[in-house]
Amino acid sequence: MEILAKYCQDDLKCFYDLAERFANKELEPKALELDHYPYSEFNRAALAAAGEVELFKLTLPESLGGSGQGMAALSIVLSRLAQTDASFAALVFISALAQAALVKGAKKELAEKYLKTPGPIGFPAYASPTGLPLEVKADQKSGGYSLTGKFSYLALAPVGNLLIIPAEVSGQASLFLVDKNAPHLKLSEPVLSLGLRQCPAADLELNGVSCGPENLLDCEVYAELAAGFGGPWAALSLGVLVGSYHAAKAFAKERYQGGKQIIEHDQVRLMLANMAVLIEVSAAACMSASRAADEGRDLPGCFAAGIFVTDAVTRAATDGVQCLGGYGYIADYGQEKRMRDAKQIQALFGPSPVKRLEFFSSRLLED
Amino acid sequence: MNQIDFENENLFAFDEGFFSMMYLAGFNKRLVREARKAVAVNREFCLKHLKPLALEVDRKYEQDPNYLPWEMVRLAAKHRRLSSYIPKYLGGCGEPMAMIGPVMEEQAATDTAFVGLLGGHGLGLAALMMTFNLKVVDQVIGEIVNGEKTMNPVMLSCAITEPTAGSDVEEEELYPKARLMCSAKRVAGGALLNGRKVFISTGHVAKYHVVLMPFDQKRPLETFAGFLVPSDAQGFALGRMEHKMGQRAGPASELIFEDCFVPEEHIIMAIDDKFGRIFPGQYPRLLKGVLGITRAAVGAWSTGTARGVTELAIDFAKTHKLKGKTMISHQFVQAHLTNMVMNVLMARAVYMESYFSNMINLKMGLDKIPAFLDNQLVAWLLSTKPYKKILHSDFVRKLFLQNLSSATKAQDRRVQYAASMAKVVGSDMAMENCHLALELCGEAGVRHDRGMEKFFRDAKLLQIFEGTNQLNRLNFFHNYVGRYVPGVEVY
Repeated sequence: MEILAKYCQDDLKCFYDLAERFANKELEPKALELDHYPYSEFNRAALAAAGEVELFKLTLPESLGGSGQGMAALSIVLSRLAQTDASFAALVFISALAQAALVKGAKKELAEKYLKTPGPIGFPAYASPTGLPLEVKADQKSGGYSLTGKFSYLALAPVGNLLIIPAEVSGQASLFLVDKNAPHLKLSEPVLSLGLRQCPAADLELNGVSCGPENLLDCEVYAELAAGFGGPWAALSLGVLVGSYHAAKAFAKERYQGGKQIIEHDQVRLMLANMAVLIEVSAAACMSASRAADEGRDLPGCFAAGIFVTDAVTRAATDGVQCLGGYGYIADYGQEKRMRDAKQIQALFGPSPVKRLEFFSSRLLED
Repeated sequence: MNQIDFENENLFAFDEGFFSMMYLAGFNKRLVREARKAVAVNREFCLKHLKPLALEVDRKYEQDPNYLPWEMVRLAAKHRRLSSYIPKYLGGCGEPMAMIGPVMEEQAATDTAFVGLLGGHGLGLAALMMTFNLKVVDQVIGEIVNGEKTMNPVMLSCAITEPTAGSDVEEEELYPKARLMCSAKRVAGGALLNGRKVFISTGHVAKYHVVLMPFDQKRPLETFAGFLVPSDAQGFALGRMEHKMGQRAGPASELIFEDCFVPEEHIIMAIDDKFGRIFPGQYPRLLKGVLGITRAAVGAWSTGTARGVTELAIDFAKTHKLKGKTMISHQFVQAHLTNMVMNVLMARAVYMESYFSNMINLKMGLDKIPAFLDNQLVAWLLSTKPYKKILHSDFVRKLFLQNLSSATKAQDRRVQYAASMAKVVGSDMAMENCHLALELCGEAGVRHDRGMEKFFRDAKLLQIFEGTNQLNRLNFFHNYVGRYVPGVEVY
């Protein structure tokens, strides 16, 4: 039984089915083969198919032509996609996050213009939401802004046509909407990364990139908005964990060492048991946080689910490789990809200790 | 990429640890002097020659999963890393074989994968030497040394693991339950080998394969024998090269034997030869002796991995800013880095204990070669026919085998549990430090060009090979705690 099924009403089952069909048809056949990007192709076919089934419209408001769904639906979809290929799931996640920042922070006309045909959007998903980098400077010029500086590791920059870039305005961080083909903007080759390779990042160099005043997004609400995505963020790791668990369990039932199936060896059994326990806890945390976000409750608290689950799954996915022994370490079995993807997911939103400290700071503010 | 000033900043310098060995200097000056010198030589090699190549070779593998790191093999040969611990009187560099741990740590701190390349070669050499078939040992060592001089590198591999027997061929107690696919058969003039070996380190770049296979699959412990198989032997073929997550400089190969003929002189150890009859139980003793050496080595290798990623994390924290000051100025970062450094030093202490345990309990005399013998004059003397005759004689072989067999059960146990502990602690600390480093460094930690994510990928294999950590825990329990619990079943 799908682990998340018991946490959601029947109205969300259709999103699970959608994600499962998509994962089986578009992701499964090529997930391992394309996991060498930028030294393999980018899965443009899956991107096109995602557009056709309106994956990029899932959380877009109905007023902008979207499905108007919330974090719960997004979590269901992401966790199922991530069971097959976390990197494509992460592409959908970051795009949804970027869309939300655009919808919240930009004027309606701009949102309508850029989200007419939604797709991947370059976004500083690896930066701390409460401490966006100030390496790029925005100077006021001719009624608009001129952006200069270097930004490293903008997620989805290689594949999105639209980029959202943090820049300093009068000592404060802001977000700017920039066309990827804007003059004086240079993108590096996609950065070879540990995991989530079909969700690539690139470094940017801006030498006086011009943009109008309407391209400055209101980012005061970004930290709270990002916190609300804690449930879907956890869902990425949950999907990886479920995939890792199923692969480890299947192998442990087939492999014989010491005269018996290795699932009968307690140390292997204990690793699987810990994964099974973590799945239950992670699913509960993910859906609870997602529901809370949809109901507008305790948005900072939603982030805790993401912090906990993404941290815990990195260790569990390492054990997932261990359960397969030498076979877990080689690419053919897909288990090592899950370990790498889990670690890359943990890196979203900044360094782990900083995320925890910032979460605690938000709690202190409430005192 | 930020550069650490390795020339002037060495957090893990010889004098900053190794206190047991420092004290030992009062009793064995030569060992400490030679270990210190070997570490210095290797540090220079790593910083000047290995470091510039490490990330590039890893990237090339990403571009082409069938890429073979011949430039690494040639680099090792050029700097005599293939004969580094072979005694001078046999033509090698004479770095102390008994105290190779600190050298491996130093190398792994630059590139874990390079140590894998040398490790596969070292495993083959250890298994070969443990047969004390000195005629073959001498021949192979001569080729290794000569190969470095002529830049035609000669590397070894050691083939034990089979597709359905991984853990089962790592522990003596599991052999009776192993599902073996390989077997040897006596024929006129030698033996025929059949079957497949998998995950064999350096298989695709080795000239010789030290193959361990039974004559009778139903009586493996009693009939496992050793064979030296050249890579151009009839009936031998290389199969697939595994596409690994990390440690890519050391290929993991499939070896295929189809009526592969091995002449009598290359059957390096067998139960039914004259030595097998005099020393029954030679294979289990070889297995345990080799694992005692190699698991201690993995402990050192892992410590270097833990250390390498820690050095990169410290470098990052020194230069990266958070909330207006460098990260290393924040208390939480100082505590985080301290945990990582302590993990390295703890792992180091554990593997050192294992090395000392091997010197005391594993009767190979690795640290007993008198200094006055270990020089090039003696090497010349030993290369002459009369001395070769003595060295290759049955008498000398029996002496070594007798010495090895004289270890008591208690000594055997100490070798086993100390080595297993070094392996488990070291590899767990390596993996933990890699996790901690990437958690601290965020996006910088996951970029290939910063080097940290490579350590993360390389580290995982350390918990798996040479017996998984789960198996090594059982080996430790069996040899340390289990002896006081009569009748307890361990495996």
